[in-house]
Amino acid sequence: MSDPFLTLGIDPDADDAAVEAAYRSAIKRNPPDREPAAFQTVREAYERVRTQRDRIAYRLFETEPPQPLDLLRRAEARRHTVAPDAGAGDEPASNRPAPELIKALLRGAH
Amino acid sequence: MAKKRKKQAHRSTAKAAVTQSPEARESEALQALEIGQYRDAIAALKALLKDDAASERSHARQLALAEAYAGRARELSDKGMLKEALVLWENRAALGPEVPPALEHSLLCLRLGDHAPALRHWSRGEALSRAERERIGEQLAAAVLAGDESLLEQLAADDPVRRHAEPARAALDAYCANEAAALEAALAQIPFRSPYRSWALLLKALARAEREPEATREMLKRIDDDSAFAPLRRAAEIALLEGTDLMRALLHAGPRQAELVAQLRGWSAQHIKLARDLAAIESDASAAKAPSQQALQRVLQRHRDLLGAEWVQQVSLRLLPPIPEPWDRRPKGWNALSAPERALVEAWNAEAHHNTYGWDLSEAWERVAMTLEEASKAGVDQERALAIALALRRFDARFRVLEADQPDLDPDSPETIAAGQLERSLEWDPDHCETYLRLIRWYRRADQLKDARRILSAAQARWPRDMAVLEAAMQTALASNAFKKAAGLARQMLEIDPINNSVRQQLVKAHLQHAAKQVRNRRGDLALKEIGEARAWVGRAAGLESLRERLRWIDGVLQMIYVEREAGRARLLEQLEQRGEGMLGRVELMLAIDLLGLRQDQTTELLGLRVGKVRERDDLLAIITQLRDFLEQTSRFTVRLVEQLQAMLKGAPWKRLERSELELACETFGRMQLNAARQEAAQAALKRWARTPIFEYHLYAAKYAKSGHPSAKEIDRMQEALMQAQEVGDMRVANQLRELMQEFLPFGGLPGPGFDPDFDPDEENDIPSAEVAAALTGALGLDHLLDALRRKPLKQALKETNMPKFLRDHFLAIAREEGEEVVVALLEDMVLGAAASLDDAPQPRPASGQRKRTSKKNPFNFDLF
Repeated sequence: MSDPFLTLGIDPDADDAAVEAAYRSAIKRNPPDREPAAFQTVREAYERVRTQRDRIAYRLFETEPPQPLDLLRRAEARRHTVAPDAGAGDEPASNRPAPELIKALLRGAH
Repeated sequence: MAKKRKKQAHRSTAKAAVTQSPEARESEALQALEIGQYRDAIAALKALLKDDAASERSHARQLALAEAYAGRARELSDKGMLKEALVLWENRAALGPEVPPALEHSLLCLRLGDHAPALRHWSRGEALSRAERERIGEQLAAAVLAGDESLLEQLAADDPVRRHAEPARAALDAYCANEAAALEAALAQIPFRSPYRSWALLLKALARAEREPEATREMLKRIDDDSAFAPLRRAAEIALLEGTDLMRALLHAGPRQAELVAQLRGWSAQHIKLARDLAAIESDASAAKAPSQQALQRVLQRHRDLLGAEWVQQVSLRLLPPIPEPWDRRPKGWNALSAPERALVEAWNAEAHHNTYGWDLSEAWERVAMTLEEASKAGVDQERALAIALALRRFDARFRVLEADQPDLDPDSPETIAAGQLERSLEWDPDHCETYLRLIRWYRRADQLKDARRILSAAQARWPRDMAVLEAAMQTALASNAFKKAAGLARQMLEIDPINNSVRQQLVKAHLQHAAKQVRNRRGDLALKEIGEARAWVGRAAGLESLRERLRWIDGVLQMIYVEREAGRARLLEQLEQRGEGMLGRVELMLAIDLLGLRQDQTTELLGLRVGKVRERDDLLAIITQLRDFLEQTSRFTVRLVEQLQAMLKGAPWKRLERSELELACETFGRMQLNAARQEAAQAALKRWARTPIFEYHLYAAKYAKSGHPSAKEIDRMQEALMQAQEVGDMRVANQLRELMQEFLPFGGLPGPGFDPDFDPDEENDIPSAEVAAALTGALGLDHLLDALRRKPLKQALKETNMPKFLRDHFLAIAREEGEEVVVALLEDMVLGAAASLDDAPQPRPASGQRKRTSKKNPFNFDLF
């Protein structure tokens, strides 16, 4: 089973309100009538980390090793929650590329 | 590698030149061309043209070589090896004027900065096909956008590539600056037929990528693979991938493509590096079919800052190699872990390898709690306190220790340890209602009512109006025979939840128990008062009709015995008459009498009733329903009630019941211990539905419920039914049959699911029991069995032992695999060992050495046991 914190896109130290907000946002993106499988995954993730007790239990008792994809999702989740100067390495770039990069690709660069 | 292959190709070609005719070589070369092996085709055709220059096939061979050059050039272009591709196009052009100039050659020249060939094509204007014109135009447009200013000067003023260049470049700047209005305005100036059409589409798609990735993917699909903007499209498509697909695509993406992906997704350079590292692990894992946890550990540490140090530390613990036993070596880096982390990893390993000789799980989690407490030097915060409480609850939570059927009060028993841990967990986390309830339930079941009340009072102080706590309080009061208190608690529960029938039922049950207690004390008046209160509780609530009816019967009986005999008698007879001619009314009366703990015969005598029989189908079904209802209320009933019901049900019309009704009847009679009726019902069912596993089970469970032992034939039938149940996937019946057979078979019967035939928890003490010998020898004595084993063929000897067929088959199967000697030695060991445990049995003679023994195997290493 995948990491519920990563499924919901939250930090392990998120509080009840943050978990609730992430859950609501996730089910909006994955409504049960259109995305039943994704909704089920979100629902299960929420049930596993809903309360503070659940979250601590997950940290104490979960022994499933992480998968490579979990690391990528973790980095993605952190990108949204951590400020650039909070020690996440170099600064994240903006979502628009520089014109020079586009030109280089048009010239055939790989 | 390329050089090596090239040499090999030449060598094979040279060899072919010696041994093969030109026609055969040409055929092979054309075949290589057809299947896309351009390098081989080029080598072969070049050699052929040289060796057989005078052939009339030379022209055709030259065209084939041109085609091979073009194919290989396209391959290299796709890989981004543009200069190498150009060499091949030039080789193709050098073949002579017979080979027509290729548009792709001109376009590649354009991409590499040489405009002349493409402009020559472009200047042909109307002579070009529409597709060719669009393609060249788009390439020229891409070259302009890529920054080739000199190209524009070579185009006419009204050339669309030149005319639309300005808005196309403005659109690029607007997109990169994230200026939506400017982008829209610039794109509006590019007409549909413009060479920049794909460019406009690409920018529109990219602008929507963040908000509408699906729509973006669809738009990007509309840009052709041979478009000048296809490389850019491919990079954008990678950025829109998710999960494993994204990682894999990034592994093969070039640096510029990866850079675009990073920028479109808002990733940092470290982020993209992480993705590539992970893709490399995935790629290795899929090749080796096992993910490398060490490699993942390395990546975690390398990208610690990006992922968050705390998270990395936490998941790294899960990647540590397993420690199967407590005395095993700890993994590398163990000493760098904190004491709670070490304790946690050890507890995980204890859980993973939990068995009789394994780690003590309760101690492992206790240690986690202790280290967590010790690590909090500056006091325990809420999170730490919860962690300690959860660690203390883990042993019970993992194995449901406090739900054992028979509570064990030994101070060293797992239950007592778990209960102690749960109590201590409440000191750290006193707000966990479920822990209070578990403890109350367990103490109540263990008859430790003082402790149950102690925990209960703490729970009631916290949750005075919680239904679960109130119910626990009511159950505890009932267990303490505090009926008034129980009634008071039930009243509180009904105030909160007025339609809670379960509470009413429990309360009525409490009043009935109290009434029975008053009857035993010969206080009929008080018993009637209890029944009156019970009736008040039932009132007119829906769904409690049968309870109301039962109270009517009870009231009638009490009236007849304690108040006014004749009036009570008349009332009961009237009630019986209302029930019709069948036995239903009698059964209801009998159940009411039994609930009060009164004597059945005394009441029957007072009413002047005679023993009757159930003769009608509807009557039988109604009685079964009534019995089920009775069992819902109580699990206690008298032997006298069972006897009277047996007499009443003897010869009942079983044949008139449907299959499901018979199943229900058998199950109900089993719970009521009406074994004779259950056996009759099962037999009747088996006559109609022969060999049905569920009825086979009921038949033998009823037949041997109290005494006796099934014959070998009957055990065979049970075994057959078990197999049949397993085949159809009816695991409930299969388990019931397996448990039943365990009572009759040696060594505790058949193995359950997950049985390990090689596991022997106590090899030194595996002496077979007396029952083993009895089952093995059957009707024969031990001497006879040994004698038969030593003198006769194994098959015949086993047959004479009256051993169940499936056991015989099993031993014969071992004999086929291991040899008869092994089976004989094994059986002799078992019989001799079993005989030694029989105090009174005559001791068989040990083997006189007639048979030579082979290697002695573990006698319990069977498939079956």
